[in-house]
Amino acid sequence: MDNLGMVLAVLGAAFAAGFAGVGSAKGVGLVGEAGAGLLTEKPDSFGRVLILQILPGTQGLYGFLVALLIFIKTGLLSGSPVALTWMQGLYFFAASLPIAIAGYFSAVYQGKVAASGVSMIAKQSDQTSKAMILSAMVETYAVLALLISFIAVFRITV
Amino acid sequence: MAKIKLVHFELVSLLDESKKLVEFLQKSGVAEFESSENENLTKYHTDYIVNQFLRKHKKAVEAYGILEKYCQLKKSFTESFSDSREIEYSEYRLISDRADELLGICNEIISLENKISELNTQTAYNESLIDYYGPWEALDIPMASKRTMTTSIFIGSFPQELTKEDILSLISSADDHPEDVEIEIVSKRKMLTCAVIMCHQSSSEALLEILKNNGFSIPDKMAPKLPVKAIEDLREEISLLKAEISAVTERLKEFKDDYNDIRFLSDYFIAQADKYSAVENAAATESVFFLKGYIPERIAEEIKFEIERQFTAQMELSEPDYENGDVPVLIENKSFAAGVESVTNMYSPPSNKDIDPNPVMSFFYYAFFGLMLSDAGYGLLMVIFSLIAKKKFKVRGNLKKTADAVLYCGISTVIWGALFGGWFGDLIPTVCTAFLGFEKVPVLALWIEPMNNSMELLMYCFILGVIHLLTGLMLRFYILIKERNFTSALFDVIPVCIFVVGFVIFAGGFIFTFDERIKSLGGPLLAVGSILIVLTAGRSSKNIIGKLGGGLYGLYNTASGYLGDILSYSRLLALSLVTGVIANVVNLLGAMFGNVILFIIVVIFGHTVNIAINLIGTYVHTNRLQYVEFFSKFYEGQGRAFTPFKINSKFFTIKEDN
Repeated sequence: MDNLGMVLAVLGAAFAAGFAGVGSAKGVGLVGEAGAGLLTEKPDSFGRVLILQILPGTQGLYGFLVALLIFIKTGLLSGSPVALTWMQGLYFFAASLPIAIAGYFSAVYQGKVAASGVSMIAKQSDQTSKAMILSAMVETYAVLALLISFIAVFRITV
Repeated sequence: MAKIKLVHFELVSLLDESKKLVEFLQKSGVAEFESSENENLTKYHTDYIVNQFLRKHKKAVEAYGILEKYCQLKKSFTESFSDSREIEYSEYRLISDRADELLGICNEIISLENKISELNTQTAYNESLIDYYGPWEALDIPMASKRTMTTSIFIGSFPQELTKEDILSLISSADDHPEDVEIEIVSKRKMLTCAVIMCHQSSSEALLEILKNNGFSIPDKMAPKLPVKAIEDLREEISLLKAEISAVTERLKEFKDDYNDIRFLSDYFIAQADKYSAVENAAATESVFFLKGYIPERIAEEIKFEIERQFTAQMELSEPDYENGDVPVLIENKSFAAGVESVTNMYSPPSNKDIDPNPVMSFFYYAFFGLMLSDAGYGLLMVIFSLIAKKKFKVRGNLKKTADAVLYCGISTVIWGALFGGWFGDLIPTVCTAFLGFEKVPVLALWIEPMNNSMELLMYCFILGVIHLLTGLMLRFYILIKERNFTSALFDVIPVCIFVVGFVIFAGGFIFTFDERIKSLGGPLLAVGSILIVLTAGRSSKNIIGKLGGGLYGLYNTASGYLGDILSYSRLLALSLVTGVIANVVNLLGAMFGNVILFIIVVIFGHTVNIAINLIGTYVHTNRLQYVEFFSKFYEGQGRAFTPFKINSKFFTIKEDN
């Protein structure tokens, strides 16, 4: 039971990077599928499609960021892990939840919006910016979740 | 600078001079035409001529494409920026005189290319025949031989590898098989055996039946003579064809010197097509030509003077009809603000009711961009990239504006990066400790380190955001005052400003630490703002309950709206952290192996990916902050950009004659 704290902290990091990452993968995948369909018809739209495809990818980065921060705080990255009580471990775990949950779902929904954006630029290729902005609206909530996770992890004293 | 005033013009000239007049306007490139609808006047229908020019343009494009292919003239991607050549207008006229001659050259080039592809097809066909006859090369009788005086001859192949004995046993195993069969194997390989089989004429049908049942097939292409001779002839023919191809290619290459003129010609045809489609807007009687449109006020008099001097024409200038007319909007800015014009236009070009948002927005745009990317190293790369584009390739037009935007975004990124101490993440400290053996490295940050002071930085992000929002509100105030709508300016803008400032100080007081005296201002300001909103927001309602309800609803809307708006600026911190942390991880991964070469590879690859992802993210989110948070306060858009009628060219620019 000595290491329970560390186990919980790493579990938190795994949730953050894992769920946000899966969400982003789903989102990016959705846009990729829609984009590949468009590219068979209009190969010149590649740049525009690529921008839309990258948009739901940021949640994965946010999750990664929080996971990394947990690693830094717990000393895993530098190779000299600190001793954590199980309460502290649980705290890290709780701190990872916002970005894990909001990251996952916002990435999927952002992917859906961006995929619709692809069909929008299929019809009117000069509308890329609007498709981009619509999709970026969804990301706001991932940014807010990231901020909460970030502050929470940051404020833990170990 | 900002918005340039346009005036409406109406132009009447003699029909005989119309062509010259339109050319003059195209050359000046300052006027936009609008359609002259009038039932008493004849309209021009120029579709046919326009299409003819477009067809000629396509021919010229095809011709210079062919020259690029055969004379290795293809330009690299970077060279294509500096392609355009400056010429005098007289030189442009010269090309128009040579248009027919050059078009003839284009036709010849295209027909020569067709000839080459024809010859290539013939060569390929001959080569396939050689492949086909190849297995029969050892055959010493003509392939089409069918019989001698007494025997029947079957020349054909089996789809497997067989020896003479194999074939004999195949034949003898069949019922009712002929005797005295003579077999000669011409060639054999895996899956193919070519053979000559002979028997007495009387049993030929029986034998053919047996052979066919065993997969024997007679070739459908017969060489008319001995195969070896046929192959020889084909080879000879191919070498002749090849000689002809190279002769034709040489003739094609002779046109190399015309390459630039032909590219030029393709531009000329586009300009002609543009000219005739512009004439669609004109109207005419039997002797008079009539044209109207818009022209910038600052040069209107000058153009009017020139036109009336050079032509038998009369030009009337008048104030544009903003109420009913479809008046375009011309925006002109210095390079700093011009860089963000494309961002505004992507949202929607300004209308005549709007002010030009670019000069104000550009400050925030560059500041936010730099803050989100926030790595001095990445910023430096952007600066270098744009300087190369500007100096070496002399980009112009919209490309130049983009290069400027990249430059200013880059400079801002360098400044923020230096403030935060990010030079390719923590590349310098990593190299110092991992490879150079330093124990400790000084802190590079000139101001604060985002990772260690994120709460403080978050506060500054919110402050920047509030300044951004208040600026938007102030612009609205300015527009309302300009429209002489003083009630709205006073009641819709001022209370919101007081409310927002009070709200930020009040709410911020719970989270951040700052001066107590400022903190104490928050509550009162918030209260005053709230009361003012409740009192004014419902003023359009008739009765007192409606006014109160409208006021409370207005307060709720303002509070929730601005709360969301301000929180939205936390993305400034979030994106800044993401860039920095990923950059640091790249350096960390690289240094993990303790090998300099691996370190360099990982660092170059990692930072390239990081730049690419973060540039796109930063661009999108900077735009979003302008569109959603800033523009919603004062900007309407839906305008139509002024697009003057001019010579649109890819390969040359016409020098201004002074």
